[in-house]
Amino acid sequence: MPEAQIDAIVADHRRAVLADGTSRLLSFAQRLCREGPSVKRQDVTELTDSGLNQEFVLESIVVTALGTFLCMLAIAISIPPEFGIRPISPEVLTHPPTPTHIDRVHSGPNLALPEGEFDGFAPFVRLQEQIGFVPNLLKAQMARPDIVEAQIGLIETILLPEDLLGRAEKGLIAATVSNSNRNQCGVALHTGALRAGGTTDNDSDRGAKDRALTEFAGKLTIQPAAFDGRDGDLLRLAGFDETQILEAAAAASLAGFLDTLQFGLGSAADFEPGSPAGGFSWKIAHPAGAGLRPTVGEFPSDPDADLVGRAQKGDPDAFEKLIEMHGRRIYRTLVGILGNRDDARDAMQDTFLKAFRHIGAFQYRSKFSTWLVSIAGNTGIERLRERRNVESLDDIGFESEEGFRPRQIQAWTDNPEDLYSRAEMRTLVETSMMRLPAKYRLVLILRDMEQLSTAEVASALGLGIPAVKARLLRGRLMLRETLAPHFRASQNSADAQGAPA
Amino acid sequence: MITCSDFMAEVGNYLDGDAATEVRLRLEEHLAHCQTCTVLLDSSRKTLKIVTDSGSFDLPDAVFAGITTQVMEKIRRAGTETTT
Repeated sequence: MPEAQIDAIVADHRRAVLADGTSRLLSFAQRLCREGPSVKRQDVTELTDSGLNQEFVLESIVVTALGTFLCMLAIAISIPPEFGIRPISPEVLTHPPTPTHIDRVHSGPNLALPEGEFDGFAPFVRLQEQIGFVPNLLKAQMARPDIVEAQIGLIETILLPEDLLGRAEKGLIAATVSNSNRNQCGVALHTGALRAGGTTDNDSDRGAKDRALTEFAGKLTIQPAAFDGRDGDLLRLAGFDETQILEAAAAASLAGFLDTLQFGLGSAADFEPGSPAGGFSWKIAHPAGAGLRPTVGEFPSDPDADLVGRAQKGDPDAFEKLIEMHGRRIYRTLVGILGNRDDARDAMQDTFLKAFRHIGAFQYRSKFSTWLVSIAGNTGIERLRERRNVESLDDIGFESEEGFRPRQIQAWTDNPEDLYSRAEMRTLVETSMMRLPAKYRLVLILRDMEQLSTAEVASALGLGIPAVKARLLRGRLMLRETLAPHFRASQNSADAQGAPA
Repeated sequence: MITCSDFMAEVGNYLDGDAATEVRLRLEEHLAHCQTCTVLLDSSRKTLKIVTDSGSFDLPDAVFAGITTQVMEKIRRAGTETTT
């Protein structure tokens, strides 16, 4: 692209000679960066309606967010530019007036991309293990798992380690940035993630250090043009060393990246915005901060709520009760995935220990028992991976995806359960179930044995409802096939009383 | 007219009572003149009942109690040490 063209675009892209679509895209990107909270779903649909496909728009949003990241980082560590500065026209530089009221009713994700099945998607499993949940804005990008993996890599490298700054400090930085960007979903996300690690710092010396981090992050976000090397001194004075300051800059920039993503994608909040951040207390003064709450759906009441609440506060007796109530279901779930009893028993310990570690992150977005099943699911899949170098349940068992045809079409006896003793029946069912591919067996166990609703199964396994139904159908038909020879009407003399056709 | 493949695709919903009324009526109409699908439906229904009633994959009380004890021991021990 000729230099003069780049100059024209940077100065004011609306005046440059560009295709309509390109100009619209640049305007969208600009708005996403500067007026993020005002971006609505219709702004995104306008782009897709004008002929840009969904994945392209997704990429554009990610690239815009990356731009935010790089700009913030460059400013925070005071890097002089490598190339000559191109002037921007004054009209573009005029900051838009801060809106006093933003109508932020949550109307669902902005893009209409399929979220994809993420059974055992390794980066999600890792993240679930480390923070207890997978943020919705990552799930929303699964049309591009490579991008999601890269983002999780950034989160793991910058936000999660404890060796330079603590997770609590970086969480504070991130929450400050989100608050300054008026992204209440982001504030809730970062404080919610902190609760999972139980990071409640009671050290009274924290006041000065936390204030320094807050000021640093806040100024970087709200007044980047006025930010300079002296703002880094803020942190030096509070006792942070150079590597910690660098990490603070990276954490703030990553939070800015996630905020831009959130504004562009419009994903549902992971936690109830505005809920208190556990034992963490901090105050950020921001003029427009109050009164901007996205509305989120109602949380259904959970019969375990009382026990869960106590367990979250560290009460081991309450947690023991929860194990007693749900342990058998967890065992069955693990049998479903692992296909044998001993492995399932082993994995039960892991599952419950993990659940206790992360119980702080549980926020009633599903029933507690469903959440527990999903932890069991992840534990099971990790075990499988260790055992057999398998990536997901899809890898296991034979797959005949094109039209499974039932071959056993002879009528069954009227009362199959009368033919065998209870013990024989159980063995028969168990043996037949073990022959099914894990991904079908698991759904059958959860739906038909444990009587979870289709929606609960979907939620526990991170699948869409159509996917659950498809697996259920396939599993039931296969099981039927295996059982049929034992129950054929013509085949048994014990059934002499009945008169099968 | 629905084919047997169509029927098979919907039998899951039908069994769970999830099929919309028009779908259900069309399925039942197909059943009226298709022996194969009638058998399929009947045996699928029975399969479901067998699975639900079988009590399979049960965990013996003693084993369950043992696992619970081990888990709680670890949790309580970790609680008494100073936490991070």
